[in-house]
Amino acid sequence: MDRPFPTFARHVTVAEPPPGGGGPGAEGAARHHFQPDPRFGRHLLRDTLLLRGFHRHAERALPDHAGLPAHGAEAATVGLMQALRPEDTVVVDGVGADEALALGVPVGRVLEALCARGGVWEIRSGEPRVLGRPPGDRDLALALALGAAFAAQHAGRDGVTACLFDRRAGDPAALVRCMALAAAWRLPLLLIERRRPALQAEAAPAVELAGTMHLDGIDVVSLAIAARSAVAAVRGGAGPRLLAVTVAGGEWPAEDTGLHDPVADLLAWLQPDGPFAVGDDLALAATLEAVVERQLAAAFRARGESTRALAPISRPPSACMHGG
Amino acid sequence: MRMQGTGAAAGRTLTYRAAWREALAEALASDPEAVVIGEGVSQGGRHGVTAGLARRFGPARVRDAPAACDAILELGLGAALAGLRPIIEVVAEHTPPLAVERMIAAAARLLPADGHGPDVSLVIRLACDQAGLVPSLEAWLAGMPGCHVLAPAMVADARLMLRAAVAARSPVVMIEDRALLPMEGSLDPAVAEVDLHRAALRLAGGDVTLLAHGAQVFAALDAAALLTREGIAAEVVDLRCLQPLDMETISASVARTRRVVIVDAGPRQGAISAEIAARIVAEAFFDLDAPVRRLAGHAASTAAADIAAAARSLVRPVATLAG
Repeated sequence: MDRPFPTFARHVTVAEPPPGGGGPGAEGAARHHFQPDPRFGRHLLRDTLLLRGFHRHAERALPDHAGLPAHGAEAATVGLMQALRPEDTVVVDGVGADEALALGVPVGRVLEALCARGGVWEIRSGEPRVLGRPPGDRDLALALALGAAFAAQHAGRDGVTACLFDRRAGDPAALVRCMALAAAWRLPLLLIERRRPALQAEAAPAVELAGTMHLDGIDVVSLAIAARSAVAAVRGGAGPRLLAVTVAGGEWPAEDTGLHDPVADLLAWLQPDGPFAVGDDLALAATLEAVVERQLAAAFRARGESTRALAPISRPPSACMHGG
Repeated sequence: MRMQGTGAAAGRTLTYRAAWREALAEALASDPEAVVIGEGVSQGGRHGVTAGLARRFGPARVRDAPAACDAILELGLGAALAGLRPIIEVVAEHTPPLAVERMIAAAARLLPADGHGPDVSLVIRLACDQAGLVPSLEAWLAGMPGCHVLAPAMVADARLMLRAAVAARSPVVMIEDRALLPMEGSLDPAVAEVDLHRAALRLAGGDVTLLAHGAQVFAALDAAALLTREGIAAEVVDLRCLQPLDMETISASVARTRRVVIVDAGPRQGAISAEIAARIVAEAFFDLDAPVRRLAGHAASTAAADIAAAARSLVRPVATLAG
């Protein structure tokens, strides 16, 4: 599908509070400036491939598992997660596998959590903390996020709480309540509502709140920039933000939805004449895919033997994660 | 102002309201993670219980919330899971039972049966302007697994139960009956803690057991005093904890007296007294010499004279019929 290329991302600079020094009251603190670069683009591509590959493997290896993440939101997850810092908290209306993977949690640990008897409540990645629940309880996810944001503010921490949930589940009033209280207390809360227009359940008009930022959940680079901007505002004490992110409702390729493919987009960005212009690194995509595939295959194979013996996938360099 | 007299050793005297306030102050002073949240709590809250706390601990620890009990409860649950110890004040008459139920149910789902889940140290102070006006809220909540429902009647219980509730790992709902707030009582200096699972024997007797909670405990004690004049020795058990029910203490009392009257300010159908009656019949049927009597509903039916009449009808059925 043809669409305007998001070249604005090349020129956008997001002023972020420095790690550990931002938040309310840090008016005079020096600001870090983030600009996307080729290395950042490669990490987005690698993480998107990792999540997509994980879905593919998980569907084969765990066909009946209710906690499997849904297809179609990989790019949104990757774009959003890279905006977070170690002191932040992620609350997910779901098991949180995608989010944990995008934050660098080892594949084996995520598999362990997915297969735990009775489901899993928390995938503790150390930092940021990921709180997940079996899907279908969006209101609980909102409550957890509200409380986590309050706890961070109460403790004077610099942490932001990001809550990702699907539009189709839950009581619309719960979302309004959550936003209203968070706004009244200026809580460091970022709500991300994933919308899947292709799904019948989401065909009806959504509840719209003033100030909602609407984003293309397939355009991973633009989304990453927007997420950084929103997180920076929230971290700076501006109060809660709501991002409405339109994502696909099923497996790629999603021709029936008319949506573009985030991996194809990222590859275009990485081409010699693309915004990232990495030239010879064009072969990187294939290399990345092969590396990710090997890691995933090993992780899923090892699950039958010992999920604890897996080598972790290394986290992206902190410079990329934090825009320093 | 009524004085609570339960035979406790003489100690410092204070009102029920002051006991709550002291307990809250102690929780805030001893635990930096404790935070009081509610509508107007910086100005004393619904019943004036939190007066002065904001001045002492600051507005961040005694936090005024908008009149949105659903959102406050949701925030409280999330904050508890994030490691805080929120003490939420909600007004029973303004709180849809479903709002409380939803949060308690959510907390229960997060607490695995093996006890290896996260701490959910959430205390909900349910300020009741008039017990019985909120239909069976305590019965509703007492049906929720995974939480304690406490109805302290005595000053000492209000003082010590809140301390224990703040330290608990699971949610605790405490019913704060406005009728009790001006009452005075003494704190036994020898008693420093209270068991959240135990009912309390307030008066020993051998002829009939009167089971009550909250303000009805005093109606039961008044009824016992009336019965004493007639030569009937009533035993008064203060339930204190409605979830879990202390059936051990209840059954032991029934085994001693063989007759029981349950006093409950809530509506008759689906009330906590219905649950207790069912369990007495199931667990102590062969100890009973008479049917279980329940007094429930409006305040008129839980007046001391009514309780005494019900007890009398069990102890002296023939005389009651003849009279």
